[in-house]
Amino acid sequence: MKHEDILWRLAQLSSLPFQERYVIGGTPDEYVLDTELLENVDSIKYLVRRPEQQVDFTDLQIRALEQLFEYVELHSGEALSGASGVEAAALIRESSVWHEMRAKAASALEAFGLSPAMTVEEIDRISA
Amino acid sequence: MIAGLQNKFSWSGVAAAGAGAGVSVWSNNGLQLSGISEKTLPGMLGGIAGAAATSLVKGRDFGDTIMAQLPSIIGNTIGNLVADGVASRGRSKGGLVIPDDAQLSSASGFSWDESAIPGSYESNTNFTPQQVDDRSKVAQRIIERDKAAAERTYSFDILPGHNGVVTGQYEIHGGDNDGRISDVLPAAYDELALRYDRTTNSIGLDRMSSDGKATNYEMDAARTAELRNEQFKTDVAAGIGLGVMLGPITALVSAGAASSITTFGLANAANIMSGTGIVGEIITGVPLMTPVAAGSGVALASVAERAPNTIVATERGVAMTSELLSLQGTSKLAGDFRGIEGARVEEIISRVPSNWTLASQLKGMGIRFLDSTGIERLRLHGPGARAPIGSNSAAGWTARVHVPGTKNSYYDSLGNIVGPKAIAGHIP
Repeated sequence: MKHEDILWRLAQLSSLPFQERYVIGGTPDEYVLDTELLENVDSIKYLVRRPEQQVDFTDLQIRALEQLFEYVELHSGEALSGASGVEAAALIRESSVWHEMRAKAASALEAFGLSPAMTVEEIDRISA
Repeated sequence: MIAGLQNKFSWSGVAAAGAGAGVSVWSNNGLQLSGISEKTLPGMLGGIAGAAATSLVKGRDFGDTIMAQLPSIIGNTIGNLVADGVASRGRSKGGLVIPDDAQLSSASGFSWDESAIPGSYESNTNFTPQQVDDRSKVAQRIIERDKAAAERTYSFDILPGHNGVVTGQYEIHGGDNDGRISDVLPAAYDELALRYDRTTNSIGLDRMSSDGKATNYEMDAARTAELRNEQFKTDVAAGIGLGVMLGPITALVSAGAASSITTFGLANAANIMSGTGIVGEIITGVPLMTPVAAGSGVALASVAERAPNTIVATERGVAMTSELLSLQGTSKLAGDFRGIEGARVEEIISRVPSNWTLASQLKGMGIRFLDSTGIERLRLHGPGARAPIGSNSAAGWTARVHVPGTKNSYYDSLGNIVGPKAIAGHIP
């Protein structure tokens, strides 16, 4: 599995500015669902966990990803519990669950050698 | 509703019809469930407030007014059970499997001694994973075995987690057929839940509280009355919510269904009313009677096998029946998702290549199919109250079809490749 297929997912989940622009401030023509941020990350576990894929990752990377996978699995319900856009925005900005998810995604990014302090534009570029 | 009778499938239409089915029951019977026979139920479906229901499903108003009072938390647990159960019977991996007696008895460290099952949360917190698993199986087995029992009463905890935190509780009283499901309970809690009391044939809002040592139950009459008299009479959304709740329960009562089934009725309703779009509802091609069989995942799977076109949407995602999944790969257009806008769910599933697998579902997420290499290729999302107003995702169910070989591009309904944030990539 190419690392670039993982990095954009981690970058989007790690970045509050990205979430501000596209999840909280998304428009009908251009938006990202909060659900998708988590699904994007959750989906790669099926690849990362394949034995033949393990050689592509360091132990540190695997450990960071697994910690993120586990956290998403355990807390997706709480993270996505907002009943409206306003509630969802508050959760994303202020809840400990989203803070922790961003932190774990950032740690995983760093394990791949990327800075989690990317701009939204930079995240857009690696996401395309 | 009835997906099977529609010329053109509409996710929101199906959901609306499912909700409307409940409205009919509600408006005819209020909170009392007596006098509804199995035969009358299908007939009630005809006079449903479909338009109102549709607007609810499509808009942010879906259940918003009631969700504050009702615990979506109920739906979480049942969602897990349902998804696990269906998955275990279907093509997906994992899930809840109830072993037979012989398998149980031969399991390492397993004991049939029900008295050995601790009754307090404190003692439960010391369970090992094996003990948790054993007790889960015992409880489920007993529920299955004695669901028709008249006098016996059971109260077991299913604890899928450990390490000092009660992460789930499943409680069944076989004698009076009460049912209650909750989830993620800390050592001390105070929560509201829907409760169906078969003895009085009524349903109400129930307060369950605990200081970590003892659990107290108290029917919150004032809150129930408020729901009945204010919310439900003035707000269509609330009326539909309760209706959906009552529908399956009424069917259960009529059919003399077991306690485990009754519980599912509650969970169904709770999900519907959680209001974040379609977080939890029962959508079935065999109205109302189809949910008759769900309390445990296995029970649902059993019914799902008999009821075609059943879709169960929960906060955990969408669980499809094995019958529906059996359509997977049957279309000549398998792998080609062009033109699926407004398509029937059967059509969509039939186009999913047979070697794709259904990903395990997480709370709040959609249904996802992975191709043979493990790459996610198709997502189905319920309408999201959190999506931008005016977007496809806010208006109804959407499909996301990933373009293979790309990082993050999707097909629109015409087969054009669009960017990840483009509205056309969320196919309604």
